[in-house]
Amino acid sequence: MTNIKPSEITAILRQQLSNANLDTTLEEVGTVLSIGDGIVRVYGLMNAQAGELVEFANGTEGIVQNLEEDNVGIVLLGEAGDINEGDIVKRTKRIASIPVGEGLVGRVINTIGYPIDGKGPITGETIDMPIERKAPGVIYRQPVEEPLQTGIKAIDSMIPIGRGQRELIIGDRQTGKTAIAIDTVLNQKEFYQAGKPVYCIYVACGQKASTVAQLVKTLEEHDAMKYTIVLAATAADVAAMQFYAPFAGAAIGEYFRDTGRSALVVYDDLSKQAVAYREVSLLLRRPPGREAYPGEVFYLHSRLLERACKVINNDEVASSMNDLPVGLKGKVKGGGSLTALPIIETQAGDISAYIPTNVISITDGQIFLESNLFNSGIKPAINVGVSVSRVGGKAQIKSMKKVSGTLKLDQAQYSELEAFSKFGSDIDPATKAVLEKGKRNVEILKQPQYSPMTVEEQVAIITCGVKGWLSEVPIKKVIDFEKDFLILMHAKYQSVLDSIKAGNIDDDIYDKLHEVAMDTANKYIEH
Amino acid sequence: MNELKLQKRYAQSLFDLAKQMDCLEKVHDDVLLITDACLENRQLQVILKNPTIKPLLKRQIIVALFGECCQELSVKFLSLIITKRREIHLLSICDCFLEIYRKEHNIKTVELVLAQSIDEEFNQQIKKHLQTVLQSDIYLVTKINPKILGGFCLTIEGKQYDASFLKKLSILKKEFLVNLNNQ
Repeated sequence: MTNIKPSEITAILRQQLSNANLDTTLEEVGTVLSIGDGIVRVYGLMNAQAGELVEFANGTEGIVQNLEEDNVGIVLLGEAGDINEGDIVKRTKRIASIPVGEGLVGRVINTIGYPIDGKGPITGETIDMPIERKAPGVIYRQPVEEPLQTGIKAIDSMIPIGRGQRELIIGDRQTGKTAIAIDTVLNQKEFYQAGKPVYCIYVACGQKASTVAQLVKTLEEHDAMKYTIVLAATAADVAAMQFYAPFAGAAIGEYFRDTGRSALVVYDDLSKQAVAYREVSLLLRRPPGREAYPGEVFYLHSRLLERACKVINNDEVASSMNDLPVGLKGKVKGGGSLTALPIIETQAGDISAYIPTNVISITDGQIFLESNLFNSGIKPAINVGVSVSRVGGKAQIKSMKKVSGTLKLDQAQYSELEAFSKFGSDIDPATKAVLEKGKRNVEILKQPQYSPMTVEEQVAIITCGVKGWLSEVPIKKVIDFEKDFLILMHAKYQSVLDSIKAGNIDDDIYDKLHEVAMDTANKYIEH
Repeated sequence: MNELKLQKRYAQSLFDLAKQMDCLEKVHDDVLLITDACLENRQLQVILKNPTIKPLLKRQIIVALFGECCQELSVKFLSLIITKRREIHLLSICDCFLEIYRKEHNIKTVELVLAQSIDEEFNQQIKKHLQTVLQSDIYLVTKINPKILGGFCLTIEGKQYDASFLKKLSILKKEFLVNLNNQ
């Protein structure tokens, strides 16, 4: 047996505890009056601030929510456990915050930044980012001008999203809302590999833990966790953890945004967050409003989504941004962006319900998914007529803008004529042409899950549809045509695809695309 | 919370009335007596809290207990509380009254938690020292809690000075955990 000298143990202990501050200070305390349903009423804490973290005798933390005449309402951020009436509660004089750093990338954490993936503690330097923070003012922003490629043809062509935009994904259950968000995350792999990563933050709010585990597995399988952080507040977590989760996600995104990088945050979903907030508000005895939601449920979502923006591309101006956390000072860079993809689940397609209308009015556009389309095999089941992107058009690359200019109009026309064509058998040739083109475009816009497409491929195939080069190809063969066409393009004209990627498109490129399209189409034309 | 508001209102009313009738000190003594009686006698608390016992009977008990030794105002106040079916809050109303009384007389309530009991002489020394430091009269409540292991924990009007061994050990534990996580 090896001998351990007592002096060695003393030295290790001394080293371990060298930073421990054992000085006693005067702390502000209160007494627990009542506790139940994750809400604690505390007597005392006269100087407590709204949003401040407080610590209970058992180490559990809570956030001050209600400041009333003779008591303070606190929401617990953990299990009530052994907190009892009469227990002491201490002020921490810290606003609720989450430790953020590079070590967070690739990890699964909870609302307070604690890792829940079993891979040990978060490593590296972290900065405390406040969960609640004011959005940057007007002078620290710039218009959306850079595209955020989702890799989904229907979105990138007709409902384009720009970096710094807030685009709502809305639809009933089982319509593919999460699939769109996940595909967007997967598509950022291209930028990660190119050395210009778009850091993705997926906030799972009120979902089953098994769903989150499955999602993490999918991201790992597609090698997407290298630039992704998953923040999970599952259905088993307390309501406060659920409604603070999107704010914590925004705080992580802000870290990347304010350090001059691009980030994408997916809030999946804000309907459940609103429900969690309603629960807490009612328990705090705040007056209920429409659908029993508290009056400030609009402000809950607007203040969250306002934090997504494109920061001005000027380091000097950006560094004087309002409400910068102390830890970020000196590290701020301009040109970063935070794109938000909030998700809302509707009930029976009712987009005029309270929360959907609120979030629609806050965001810069919406992608509306329909069960009917989904059930008829059109995936992604995007209703082009109702979906819109208010600012993304400016961020589209030139080639895509030029090609997809008429696509949305064509498809809207097709949807209208399709309904009429069901009534009569005699259709004039012009209408028939529109219908045939529309049907082929619908096939082109179909896309399987987890297979995002690069922008140059999207432009190439959409050009074929828009120009009507597929008119002779049977509808059932359009998907096969697409595969062959792209293989041939990569093999024969990679330079053309590169040129499209750079945003160029001219007659020469059209000719080459036409040549390949006709060569491929000939294989499928039924004589 | 509404309940706390209620107790404060009753206590403030009694305090104001006693002051007006120039019998504040006597009523204060009565309140101390009622508090002690309630704390020492669990049966009395149970009777007061029992909703099946009629108010008339409760009033008779209260008059029999405190009628002779307390001021008329105090007894009437107790009767009023029973009539209004607020007897369940009697103890907390008394606490609120004492709080108001101490505030009015610039007496600070100090709670001292120790691991072991101390003799009266040492208790007086502490009281004197605190009076000098706080520059006001103090009402010292000494509690014994062996869980703090050693040292002391002082609470003065919502502020706590925790110099207990338990607190220091918990700081060391936290520091160990932080260091372990960083390794």
